[in-house]
Amino acid sequence: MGILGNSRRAFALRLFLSIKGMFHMEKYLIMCRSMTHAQRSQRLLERNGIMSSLIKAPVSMTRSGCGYALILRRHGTDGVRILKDVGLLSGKVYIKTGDDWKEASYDLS
Amino acid sequence: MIYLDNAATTFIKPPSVYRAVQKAMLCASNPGRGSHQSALKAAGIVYDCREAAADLFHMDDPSRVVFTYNATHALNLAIRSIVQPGSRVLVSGFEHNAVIRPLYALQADVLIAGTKLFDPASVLDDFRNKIESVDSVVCTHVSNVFGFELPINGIASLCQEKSVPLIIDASQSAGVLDIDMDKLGAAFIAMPGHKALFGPQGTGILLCGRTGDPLLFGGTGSDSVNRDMPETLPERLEAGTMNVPGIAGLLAGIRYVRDIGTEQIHAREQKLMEVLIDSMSKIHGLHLYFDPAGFQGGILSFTADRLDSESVSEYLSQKGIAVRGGLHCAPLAHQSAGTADGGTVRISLSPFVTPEQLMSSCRILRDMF
Repeated sequence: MGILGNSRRAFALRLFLSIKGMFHMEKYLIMCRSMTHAQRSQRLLERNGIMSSLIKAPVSMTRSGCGYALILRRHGTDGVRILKDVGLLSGKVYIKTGDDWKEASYDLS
Repeated sequence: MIYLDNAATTFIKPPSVYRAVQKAMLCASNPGRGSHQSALKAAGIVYDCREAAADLFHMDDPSRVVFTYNATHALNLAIRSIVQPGSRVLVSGFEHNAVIRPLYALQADVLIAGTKLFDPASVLDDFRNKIESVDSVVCTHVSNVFGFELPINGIASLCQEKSVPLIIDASQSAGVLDIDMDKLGAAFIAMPGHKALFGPQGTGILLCGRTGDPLLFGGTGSDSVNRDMPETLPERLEAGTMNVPGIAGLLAGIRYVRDIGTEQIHAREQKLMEVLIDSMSKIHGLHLYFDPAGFQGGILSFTADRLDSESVSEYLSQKGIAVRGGLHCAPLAHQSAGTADGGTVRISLSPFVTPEQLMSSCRILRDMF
Protein backbone atom coordinates (compact mmCIF):
# COMPACT_ATOMS: atom_id res chain seq x y z
CA MET A 1 0.00 0.00 0.00
CA GLY A 2 1.26 3.53 -0.67
CA ILE A 3 1.56 6.33 1.80
CA LEU A 4 -2.05 7.36 1.18
CA GLY A 5 -3.05 3.74 0.65
CA ASN A 6 -5.89 3.89 3.10
CA SER A 7 -7.28 7.27 2.09
CA ARG A 8 -10.59 7.64 0.30
CA ARG A 9 -8.94 9.53 -2.51
CA ALA A 10 -6.40 6.83 -3.20
CA PHE A 11 -9.11 4.17 -3.03
CA ALA A 12 -11.28 6.06 -5.49
CA LEU A 13 -8.32 6.54 -7.77
CA ARG A 14 -7.43 2.87 -7.65
CA LEU A 15 -11.06 1.87 -8.34
CA PHE A 16 -11.22 4.25 -11.31
CA LEU A 17 -7.90 3.05 -12.62
CA SER A 18 -8.87 -0.60 -12.08
CA ILE A 19 -11.89 -0.14 -14.28
CA LYS A 20 -9.88 1.83 -16.81
CA GLY A 21 -7.04 -0.67 -16.54
CA MET A 22 -9.22 -3.53 -17.61
CA PHE A 23 -8.96 -2.06 -21.07
CA HIS A 24 -5.20 -1.42 -20.89
CA MET A 25 -3.42 -4.58 -19.71
CA GLU A 26 -0.02 -3.99 -21.28
CA LYS A 27 2.94 -4.48 -18.98
CA TYR A 28 5.35 -1.57 -18.78
CA LEU A 29 8.94 -1.52 -17.59
CA ILE A 30 10.37 1.87 -16.64
CA MET A 31 14.15 2.05 -16.21
CA CYS A 32 15.43 4.06 -13.25
CA ARG A 33 18.91 5.44 -12.70
CA SER A 34 19.28 4.18 -9.11
CA MET A 35 17.48 2.43 -6.27
CA THR A 36 16.53 5.75 -4.71
CA HIS A 37 15.18 7.06 -8.01
CA ALA A 38 13.14 3.87 -8.41
CA GLN A 39 11.76 4.19 -4.87
CA ARG A 40 10.87 7.85 -5.33
CA SER A 41 9.09 7.03 -8.56
CA GLN A 42 7.30 4.08 -6.99
CA ARG A 43 6.04 6.14 -4.06
CA LEU A 44 4.81 8.88 -6.37
CA LEU A 45 2.91 6.36 -8.46
CA GLU A 46 1.40 4.82 -5.30
CA ARG A 47 0.14 8.23 -4.20
CA ASN A 48 -1.61 8.38 -7.58
CA GLY A 49 -3.17 4.98 -7.16
CA ILE A 50 -0.78 3.11 -9.47
CA MET A 51 0.97 0.04 -8.07
CA SER A 52 4.33 -1.15 -9.36
CA SER A 53 7.01 -3.72 -8.59
CA LEU A 54 10.58 -2.62 -8.05
CA ILE A 55 13.07 -5.00 -9.63
CA LYS A 56 16.67 -5.16 -10.63
CA ALA A 57 16.62 -4.44 -14.32
CA PRO A 58 17.37 -7.27 -16.77
CA VAL A 59 21.03 -7.22 -17.70
CA SER A 60 20.25 -6.67 -21.39
CA MET A 61 18.52 -3.39 -20.56
CA THR A 62 21.24 -1.83 -18.43
CA ARG A 63 23.91 -0.01 -20.35
CA SER A 64 26.16 0.50 -17.37
CA GLY A 65 25.45 -2.52 -15.19
CA CYS A 66 23.24 -2.97 -12.12
CA GLY A 67 20.13 -0.97 -12.78
CA TYR A 68 16.66 -0.78 -11.29
CA ALA A 69 13.28 -0.67 -12.90
CA LEU A 70 9.59 -0.48 -12.12
CA ILE A 71 7.14 -2.93 -13.61
CA LEU A 72 3.62 -1.61 -14.09
CA ARG A 73 1.13 -4.32 -14.86
CA ARG A 74 -1.64 -1.79 -15.37
CA HIS A 75 -1.92 1.90 -16.14
CA GLY A 76 1.48 2.02 -17.75
CA THR A 77 0.62 4.99 -19.92
CA ASP A 78 -0.71 6.94 -16.97
CA GLY A 79 2.34 6.00 -14.93
CA VAL A 80 4.76 7.14 -17.58
CA ARG A 81 2.88 10.41 -17.96
CA ILE A 82 2.90 11.07 -14.20
CA LEU A 83 6.63 10.48 -13.96
CA LYS A 84 7.34 12.50 -17.08
CA ASP A 85 5.29 15.45 -15.78
CA VAL A 86 7.39 15.77 -12.61
CA GLY A 87 10.73 15.15 -14.32
CA LEU A 88 11.27 11.69 -12.86
CA LEU A 89 11.33 9.86 -16.19
CA SER A 90 15.03 9.60 -17.06
CA GLY A 91 15.50 6.10 -18.45
CA LYS A 92 14.02 3.97 -21.20
CA VAL A 93 10.49 2.67 -21.18
CA TYR A 94 9.64 -0.81 -22.48
CA ILE A 95 6.30 -2.45 -23.28
CA LYS A 96 5.88 -6.20 -23.19
CA THR A 97 4.64 -7.61 -26.47
CA GLY A 98 4.36 -11.38 -26.34
CA ASP A 99 7.45 -12.64 -24.58
CA ASP A 100 9.66 -9.70 -25.49
CA TRP A 101 10.15 -6.21 -24.17
CA LYS A 102 10.01 -3.56 -26.87
CA GLU A 103 11.37 -0.09 -26.33
CA ALA A 104 8.65 2.55 -26.35
CA SER A 105 8.74 6.28 -26.84
CA TYR A 106 7.71 8.62 -24.01
CA ASP A 107 4.90 10.03 -26.15
CA LEU A 108 2.42 7.25 -25.59
CA SER A 109 -0.67 9.12 -26.67
CA MET B 1 22.78 7.06 36.59
CA ILE B 2 21.43 10.53 35.94
CA TYR B 3 22.40 11.13 32.34
CA LEU B 4 23.07 14.80 31.58
CA ASP B 5 25.45 14.46 28.64
CA ASN B 6 22.90 14.53 25.80
CA ALA B 7 24.98 16.97 23.77
CA ALA B 8 27.48 14.14 23.33
CA THR B 9 24.80 11.58 22.51
CA THR B 10 21.28 10.85 23.73
CA PHE B 11 21.94 7.79 25.80
CA ILE B 12 18.29 7.21 26.58
CA LYS B 13 16.20 6.62 23.46
CA PRO B 14 12.48 6.16 22.90
CA PRO B 15 11.62 2.41 23.16
CA SER B 16 10.61 2.38 19.49
CA VAL B 17 14.23 3.03 18.53
CA TYR B 18 15.57 -0.08 20.26
CA ARG B 19 12.79 -2.18 18.72
CA ALA B 20 13.46 -0.80 15.24
CA VAL B 21 17.18 -1.58 15.43
CA GLN B 22 16.56 -5.13 16.57
CA LYS B 23 13.87 -5.70 13.94
CA ALA B 24 16.15 -4.44 11.19
CA MET B 25 18.93 -6.75 12.32
CA LEU B 26 16.52 -9.67 12.04
CA CYS B 27 14.94 -8.92 8.67
CA ALA B 28 16.90 -6.36 6.65
CA SER B 29 20.05 -7.14 4.70
CA ASN B 30 21.94 -4.89 2.27
CA PRO B 31 19.79 -2.38 0.33
CA GLY B 32 20.44 -1.66 -3.32
CA ARG B 33 22.38 -4.82 -3.99
CA GLY B 34 20.24 -7.93 -4.39
CA SER B 35 16.57 -7.97 -5.28
CA HIS B 36 15.50 -10.53 -2.70
CA GLN B 37 13.06 -9.84 0.10
CA SER B 38 15.52 -8.86 2.80
CA ALA B 39 17.34 -6.47 0.44
CA LEU B 40 14.08 -4.81 -0.59
CA LYS B 41 13.06 -4.62 3.06
CA ALA B 42 16.31 -2.83 3.85
CA ALA B 43 15.83 -0.50 0.90
CA GLY B 44 12.33 0.30 2.12
CA ILE B 45 13.61 1.22 5.58
CA VAL B 46 16.29 3.47 4.15
CA TYR B 47 13.88 5.26 1.84
CA ASP B 48 11.29 5.64 4.59
CA CYS B 49 13.95 7.37 6.67
CA ARG B 50 14.86 9.68 3.80
CA GLU B 51 11.20 10.63 3.45
CA ALA B 52 10.78 11.16 7.18
CA ALA B 53 13.86 13.39 7.32
CA ALA B 54 12.77 15.33 4.23
CA ASP B 55 9.39 15.89 5.85
CA LEU B 56 10.87 17.00 9.19
CA PHE B 57 13.21 19.47 7.51
CA HIS B 58 10.66 20.76 4.98
CA MET B 59 12.22 19.36 1.83
CA ASP B 60 10.32 18.22 -1.27
CA ASP B 61 12.91 15.75 -2.50
CA PRO B 62 14.00 12.84 -0.28
CA SER B 63 16.90 12.17 -2.68
CA ARG B 64 18.61 15.21 -1.18
CA VAL B 65 18.79 13.48 2.21
CA VAL B 66 22.15 11.73 2.40
CA PHE B 67 23.03 9.33 5.20
CA THR B 68 26.42 9.64 6.85
CA TYR B 69 28.05 8.01 9.87
CA ASN B 70 27.84 11.10 12.08
CA ALA B 71 27.78 14.89 11.85
CA THR B 72 31.56 15.06 11.50
CA HIS B 73 31.37 12.89 8.37
CA ALA B 74 28.53 15.07 7.07
CA LEU B 75 30.49 18.29 7.74
CA ASN B 76 33.59 16.92 6.05
CA LEU B 77 31.52 16.02 2.98
CA ALA B 78 29.97 19.49 2.90
CA ILE B 79 33.19 21.39 3.53
CA ARG B 80 35.16 19.39 0.97
CA SER B 81 32.42 20.06 -1.59
CA ILE B 82 32.36 23.81 -1.09
CA VAL B 83 35.69 25.04 0.28
CA GLN B 84 38.64 25.26 -2.06
CA PRO B 85 42.13 24.98 -0.58
CA GLY B 86 43.33 28.39 0.55
CA SER B 87 39.95 30.08 0.05
CA ARG B 88 38.49 32.45 2.63
CA VAL B 89 35.84 31.03 4.94
CA LEU B 90 33.78 32.91 7.52
CA VAL B 91 32.88 31.00 10.67
CA SER B 92 31.33 31.92 14.00
CA GLY B 93 33.27 32.10 17.22
CA PHE B 94 31.56 28.94 18.50
CA GLU B 95 32.51 26.28 15.97
CA HIS B 96 33.31 22.69 16.85
CA ASN B 97 36.51 20.98 15.71
CA ALA B 98 34.39 19.07 13.18
CA VAL B 99 34.32 22.40 11.32
CA ILE B 100 37.69 23.88 12.25
CA ARG B 101 39.86 20.81 11.60
CA PRO B 102 38.64 20.14 8.03
CA LEU B 103 39.14 23.83 7.26
CA TYR B 104 42.63 23.71 8.73
CA ALA B 105 43.40 20.59 6.67
CA LEU B 106 42.35 22.49 3.54
CA GLN B 107 44.57 25.39 4.58
CA ALA B 108 41.55 27.65 4.34
CA ASP B 109 41.89 31.27 5.34
CA VAL B 110 39.50 31.25 8.30
CA LEU B 111 37.87 34.51 9.37
CA ILE B 112 35.94 34.50 12.65
CA ALA B 113 32.80 36.53 13.20
CA GLY B 114 30.45 36.77 16.15
CA THR B 115 32.34 35.98 19.32
CA LYS B 116 30.03 37.63 21.85
CA LEU B 117 28.32 34.93 23.85
CA PHE B 118 24.52 35.20 24.04
CA ASP B 119 24.47 38.32 21.84
CA PRO B 120 22.78 37.28 18.56
CA ALA B 121 22.45 40.88 17.33
CA SER B 122 26.18 41.41 17.68
CA VAL B 123 26.90 38.09 15.96
CA LEU B 124 24.70 39.03 13.00
CA ASP B 125 26.28 42.49 12.72
CA ASP B 126 29.73 40.96 12.71
CA PHE B 127 28.75 38.52 9.97
CA ARG B 128 27.30 41.40 7.98
CA ASN B 129 30.54 43.36 8.30
CA LYS B 130 32.78 40.50 7.26
CA ILE B 131 30.83 38.58 4.61
CA GLU B 132 31.87 40.73 1.61
CA SER B 133 35.36 39.31 1.37
CA VAL B 134 34.62 35.59 1.82
CA ASP B 135 34.09 32.61 -0.46
CA SER B 136 31.88 30.60 1.89
CA VAL B 137 30.33 30.56 5.37
CA VAL B 138 30.22 27.70 7.86
CA CYS B 139 28.20 28.31 10.99
CA THR B 140 26.89 26.34 13.92
CA HIS B 141 23.22 26.74 14.78
CA VAL B 142 23.58 26.11 18.53
CA SER B 143 26.86 26.06 20.45
CA ASN B 144 27.67 22.61 21.80
CA VAL B 145 29.37 24.22 24.83
CA PHE B 146 27.01 26.99 25.87
CA GLY B 147 23.72 26.25 24.12
CA PHE B 148 23.93 29.70 22.53
CA GLU B 149 21.43 29.82 19.65
CA LEU B 150 23.04 31.81 16.85
CA PRO B 151 20.88 33.96 14.51
CA ILE B 152 20.98 31.39 11.73
CA ASN B 153 17.96 32.78 9.84
CA GLY B 154 19.66 36.17 9.60
CA ILE B 155 22.98 34.64 8.60
CA ALA B 156 21.27 32.50 5.96
CA SER B 157 19.51 35.58 4.53
CA LEU B 158 22.84 37.40 4.37
CA CYS B 159 24.41 34.50 2.52
CA GLN B 160 21.55 34.35 0.04
CA GLU B 161 21.74 38.10 -0.50
CA LYS B 162 25.47 37.95 -1.15
CA SER B 163 25.33 34.61 -3.03
CA VAL B 164 27.79 33.04 -0.61
CA PRO B 165 27.34 29.30 -0.02
CA LEU B 166 26.41 28.41 3.56
CA ILE B 167 27.05 25.21 5.49
CA ILE B 168 25.12 24.87 8.75
CA ASP B 169 26.21 22.63 11.61
CA ALA B 170 22.88 21.57 13.12
CA SER B 171 24.43 19.09 15.56
CA GLN B 172 22.71 20.60 18.61
CA SER B 173 19.56 21.92 16.94
CA ALA B 174 18.25 19.10 14.72
CA GLY B 175 15.30 17.58 16.56
CA VAL B 176 14.96 20.54 18.96
CA LEU B 177 14.51 23.62 16.77
CA ASP B 178 12.56 23.82 13.53
CA ILE B 179 14.94 23.75 10.56
CA ASP B 180 13.53 24.60 7.14
CA MET B 181 16.13 23.57 4.58
CA ASP B 182 14.47 25.19 1.61
CA LYS B 183 13.78 28.51 3.38
CA LEU B 184 17.33 28.74 4.73
CA GLY B 185 18.73 28.16 1.24
CA ALA B 186 21.83 26.52 2.67
CA ALA B 187 24.20 24.58 0.45
CA PHE B 188 24.35 21.87 3.11
CA ILE B 189 23.02 21.23 6.61
CA ALA B 190 24.85 18.59 8.64
CA MET B 191 23.58 16.78 11.71
CA PRO B 192 24.14 13.67 13.77
CA GLY B 193 21.44 11.01 13.94
CA HIS B 194 22.39 10.05 17.49
CA LYS B 195 21.68 13.24 19.44
CA ALA B 196 18.26 14.94 19.46
CA LEU B 197 17.00 12.80 16.57
CA PHE B 198 17.42 9.81 18.94
CA GLY B 199 18.98 7.45 16.40
CA PRO B 200 21.84 5.10 17.31
CA GLN B 201 25.47 6.12 17.08
CA GLY B 202 26.88 5.56 13.61
CA THR B 203 24.19 7.66 11.95
CA GLY B 204 24.16 11.16 10.57
CA ILE B 205 22.38 13.18 7.91
CA LEU B 206 23.54 15.66 5.32
CA LEU B 207 20.75 17.73 3.80
CA CYS B 208 21.91 18.77 0.34
CA GLY B 209 21.04 22.02 -1.37
CA ARG B 210 23.53 21.08 -4.06
CA THR B 211 25.02 17.82 -5.34
CA GLY B 212 28.44 17.84 -3.65
CA ASP B 213 31.61 15.83 -4.15
CA PRO B 214 32.22 12.35 -2.77
CA LEU B 215 34.61 11.72 0.08
CA LEU B 216 34.36 7.95 -0.24
CA PHE B 217 34.50 6.12 -3.53
CA GLY B 218 33.09 2.64 -3.95
CA GLY B 219 30.05 0.54 -4.69
CA THR B 220 26.63 2.13 -4.84
CA GLY B 221 24.59 -0.79 -6.18
CA SER B 222 23.95 0.80 -9.54
CA ASP B 223 25.73 1.96 -12.70
CA SER B 224 28.52 -0.44 -11.88
CA VAL B 225 30.40 -0.24 -15.20
CA ASN B 226 30.99 3.48 -14.66
CA ARG B 227 34.24 4.10 -12.80
CA ASP B 228 33.06 7.48 -11.59
CA MET B 229 30.70 7.83 -8.69
CA PRO B 230 27.10 8.46 -9.84
CA GLU B 231 26.32 12.07 -10.69
CA THR B 232 23.06 12.19 -8.78
CA LEU B 233 22.12 12.18 -5.12
CA PRO B 234 22.04 10.41 -2.80
CA GLU B 235 24.19 7.62 -4.26
CA ARG B 236 26.95 10.04 -5.24
CA LEU B 237 27.74 10.62 -1.55
CA GLU B 238 26.89 7.15 -0.18
CA ALA B 239 29.54 4.60 -1.16
CA GLY B 240 29.59 1.21 0.50
CA THR B 241 27.18 -0.58 2.80
CA MET B 242 25.03 1.67 4.94
CA ASN B 243 24.27 1.29 8.62
CA VAL B 244 20.79 -0.12 7.99
CA PRO B 245 19.98 -1.06 11.61
CA GLY B 246 21.15 2.43 12.58
CA ILE B 247 18.99 4.05 9.93
CA ALA B 248 16.04 1.95 11.09
CA GLY B 249 16.58 3.30 14.59
CA LEU B 250 17.01 6.82 13.23
CA LEU B 251 13.69 6.48 11.40
CA ALA B 252 11.99 5.57 14.67
CA GLY B 253 13.71 8.52 16.36
CA ILE B 254 12.64 10.99 13.68
CA ARG B 255 9.06 9.72 13.92
CA TYR B 256 9.21 10.22 17.69
CA VAL B 257 10.39 13.82 17.21
CA ARG B 258 7.74 14.43 14.55
CA ASP B 259 4.95 13.00 16.71
CA ILE B 260 5.85 15.17 19.71
CA GLY B 261 6.94 18.22 17.70
CA THR B 262 10.13 20.25 17.99
CA GLU B 263 8.20 23.09 19.61
CA GLN B 264 7.11 20.85 22.47
CA ILE B 265 10.56 19.33 22.84
CA HIS B 266 12.19 22.76 22.93
CA ALA B 267 9.61 24.07 25.40
CA ARG B 268 10.21 21.11 27.72
CA GLU B 269 13.97 21.61 27.62
CA GLN B 270 13.51 25.33 28.31
CA LYS B 271 11.39 24.54 31.39
CA LEU B 272 14.00 22.07 32.63
CA MET B 273 16.69 24.69 32.01
CA GLU B 274 14.77 27.21 34.16
CA VAL B 275 14.61 24.69 37.02
CA LEU B 276 18.30 23.97 36.67
CA ILE B 277 19.47 27.58 36.49
CA ASP B 278 17.24 28.59 39.38
CA SER B 279 18.68 25.83 41.56
CA MET B 280 22.31 26.12 40.55
CA SER B 281 22.44 29.90 40.85
CA LYS B 282 21.99 29.44 44.63
CA ILE B 283 25.16 27.36 44.95
CA HIS B 284 28.17 29.40 46.07
CA GLY B 285 31.35 29.07 44.12
CA LEU B 286 29.76 28.29 40.76
CA HIS B 287 29.72 30.58 37.74
CA LEU B 288 26.92 29.77 35.27
CA TYR B 289 26.98 30.72 31.60
CA PHE B 290 23.40 31.32 30.58
CA ASP B 291 21.39 33.78 28.59
CA PRO B 292 18.87 35.83 30.58
CA ALA B 293 17.09 36.65 27.31
CA GLY B 294 16.53 32.96 26.64
CA PHE B 295 18.51 32.39 23.41
CA GLN B 296 19.66 29.07 24.78
CA GLY B 297 19.21 25.42 23.93
CA GLY B 298 19.16 22.66 26.52
CA ILE B 299 22.84 23.11 27.34
CA LEU B 300 24.36 24.83 30.37
CA SER B 301 28.05 25.32 31.08
CA PHE B 302 29.52 26.34 34.41
CA THR B 303 32.85 26.76 36.13
CA ALA B 304 33.75 26.37 39.80
CA ASP B 305 35.98 28.66 41.83
CA ARG B 306 37.84 25.95 43.71
CA LEU B 307 38.04 23.08 41.22
CA ASP B 308 38.80 22.58 37.55
CA SER B 309 36.10 21.29 35.20
CA GLU B 310 37.46 17.75 34.88
CA SER B 311 37.69 17.31 38.66
CA VAL B 312 34.08 18.46 39.07
CA SER B 313 32.95 16.12 36.28
CA GLU B 314 34.84 13.22 37.83
CA TYR B 315 33.28 13.86 41.23
CA LEU B 316 29.79 13.99 39.69
CA SER B 317 30.49 10.81 37.74
CA GLN B 318 31.36 9.00 40.97
CA LYS B 319 28.04 10.19 42.36
CA GLY B 320 26.21 8.73 39.35
CA ILE B 321 25.75 11.94 37.37
CA ALA B 322 27.00 11.98 33.79
CA VAL B 323 28.23 15.35 32.53
CA ARG B 324 31.23 16.45 30.46
CA GLY B 325 34.15 18.62 31.49
CA GLY B 326 36.94 20.23 29.50
CA LEU B 327 36.95 21.96 26.13
CA HIS B 328 34.22 19.86 24.45
CA CYS B 329 36.14 19.63 21.15
CA ALA B 330 35.37 23.34 20.74
CA PRO B 331 38.38 25.41 21.89
CA LEU B 332 37.21 28.30 19.72
CA ALA B 333 33.97 28.56 21.68
CA HIS B 334 35.90 28.65 24.95
CA GLN B 335 38.25 31.32 23.57
CA SER B 336 35.21 33.42 22.62
CA ALA B 337 33.66 33.03 26.08
CA GLY B 338 36.89 33.42 28.05
CA THR B 339 36.82 29.88 29.46
CA ALA B 340 39.74 28.43 27.46
CA ASP B 341 41.84 28.11 30.59
CA GLY B 342 40.37 24.93 32.09
CA GLY B 343 37.16 24.70 30.11
CA THR B 344 33.73 24.23 31.66
CA VAL B 345 31.46 21.56 33.04
CA ARG B 346 28.61 21.02 30.61
CA ILE B 347 25.13 19.82 31.52
CA SER B 348 23.00 18.95 28.51
CA LEU B 349 19.35 17.95 28.59
CA SER B 350 16.88 15.84 26.67
CA PRO B 351 13.10 15.40 27.02
CA PHE B 352 13.85 12.26 29.09
CA VAL B 353 15.52 14.23 31.88
CA THR B 354 13.20 14.95 34.82
CA PRO B 355 13.08 17.93 37.21
CA GLU B 356 13.67 15.49 40.08
CA GLN B 357 16.93 14.33 38.49
CA LEU B 358 18.05 17.94 38.14
CA MET B 359 17.20 18.71 41.79
CA SER B 360 19.10 15.60 42.88
CA SER B 361 22.11 16.69 40.85
CA CYS B 362 22.00 20.17 42.35
CA ARG B 363 21.92 18.75 45.89
CA ILE B 364 25.07 16.78 45.13
CA LEU B 365 26.75 19.88 43.69
CA ARG B 366 25.75 21.90 46.73
CA ASP B 367 27.33 19.29 49.01
CA MET B 368 30.49 19.47 46.98
CA PHE B 369 30.82 23.24 47.42
